[in-house]
Amino acid sequence: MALDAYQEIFCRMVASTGYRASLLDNPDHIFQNRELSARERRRLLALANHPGMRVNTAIHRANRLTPLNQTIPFTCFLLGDRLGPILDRYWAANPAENLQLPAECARFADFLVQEMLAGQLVDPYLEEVLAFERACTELRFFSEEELRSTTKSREGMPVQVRILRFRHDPEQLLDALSKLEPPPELEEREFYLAIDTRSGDPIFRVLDQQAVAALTAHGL
Amino acid sequence: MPGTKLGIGLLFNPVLPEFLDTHADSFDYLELIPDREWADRGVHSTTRYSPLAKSFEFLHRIREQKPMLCHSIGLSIGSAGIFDTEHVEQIRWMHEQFDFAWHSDHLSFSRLPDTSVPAIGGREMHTAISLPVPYDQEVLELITGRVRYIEAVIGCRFLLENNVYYAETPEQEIAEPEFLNRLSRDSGCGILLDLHNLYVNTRNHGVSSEVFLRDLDLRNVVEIHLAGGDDLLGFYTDSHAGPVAPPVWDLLKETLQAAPWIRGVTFEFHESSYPLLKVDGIRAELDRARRIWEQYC
Repeated sequence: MALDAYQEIFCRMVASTGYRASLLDNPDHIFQNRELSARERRRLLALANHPGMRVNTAIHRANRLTPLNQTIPFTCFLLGDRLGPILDRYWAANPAENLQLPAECARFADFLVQEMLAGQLVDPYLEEVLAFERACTELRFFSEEELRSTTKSREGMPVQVRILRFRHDPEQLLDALSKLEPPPELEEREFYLAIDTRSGDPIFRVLDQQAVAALTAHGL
Repeated sequence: MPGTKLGIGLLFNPVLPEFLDTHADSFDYLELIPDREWADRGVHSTTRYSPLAKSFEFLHRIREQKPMLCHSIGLSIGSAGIFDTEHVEQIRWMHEQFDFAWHSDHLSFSRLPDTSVPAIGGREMHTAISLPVPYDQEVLELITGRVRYIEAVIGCRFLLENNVYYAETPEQEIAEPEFLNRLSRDSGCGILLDLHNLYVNTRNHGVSSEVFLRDLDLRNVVEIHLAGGDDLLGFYTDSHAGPVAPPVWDLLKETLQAAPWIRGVTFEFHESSYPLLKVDGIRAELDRARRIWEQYC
């Protein structure tokens, strides 16, 4: 169906300035094997040349950034100037699929973890901050039933409670990020932060050694 | 045509709960974007939708006091390759929860099948912006059938909103107002006339609002949207930033004088622009809309 192909090329031009440039550079290459009428080809070329396409792309990018900024703002802040090139790589590899907050958050978080594992992204705080924001997003958006089905079974632990391991003092780290300040240099040690959403709004608590020992004794 | 005149409404967003509680006298109805009130895990998920419980609790409380409208953003009614009947069913479920007076969505497309990954059946691409459909007979027929389906499933009046566009589509077969007239005639849908969208197209492309409003059959218009915008890369955008754009107030007066069946005028703003408005600013926009409404309706 020709309208199908027309809309797909239009969408790809909005999402990628590179794709739009290649259409202008070599339209026959983009149009080959596509069921497009002569009028649809003329329309696509006119759209590619239209200055309004830059606005479409800017809005597309802003709308893709919004769910990330709403779910993992501290991670975005920590990434700083690195965020732009990372988003370019992420968006090139992951066309917008589901822009709902938890879905886009999970997909981008997975991408960042892969970049960290591959050594392309090195940051002393990123892993723990990302894990914290990801947990907060899941606790905020998932129902109890969904949390039960997506969270690893931990006997005795309510699904609305998460205990996260930090390698730096979570209070100092998260306090700085909440003020949009770079974290101070923090000593590396083991900390545990509990997030409890059983009463609705999240309650955060750094666990002391006694609590950690008790949880460990119970296999939690 | 829908019976009751509702009056002046407000599009719900996350910064509004306190305002809605403290200024309940400033609006007659609340319009809701249902897609923001549930988590949608995608077409092939086993448990696809789950409502956000906290938000639902608040909205049910508002519903006890005020009528509500449903304004979805996810139908993508103009997509050639996707028509998501599961999503229509979810909207029907939402209507059962809140008994909305009518339903609306956008005359545009935003979702497409992702053909770059044929091995993964059903993966989608999202445009992350409402893109315009060409105003051609082929598209008219495509959308007409879908409107009938949606109305039959959700069981209430369905409106389509005139779109905003930043890049012009050449060689269209039908002018926009005539396309909307034929769509209403053939499918039975009403029109949600977004006057700010019209103003944006006027600013960016020299569309004549006078000619548009003259050629549009205003008997089909059931609801009006008012909003503001701002400048980006040399264009004026429909960003819903802050107060209503001043020329839109004149368009509202012109439209209300000529359109006999309008049932509601809704003010929309984006939550990120709350600092530009604050409580007094929201109240001022609603009061101004009400004064014009009372003068002409």
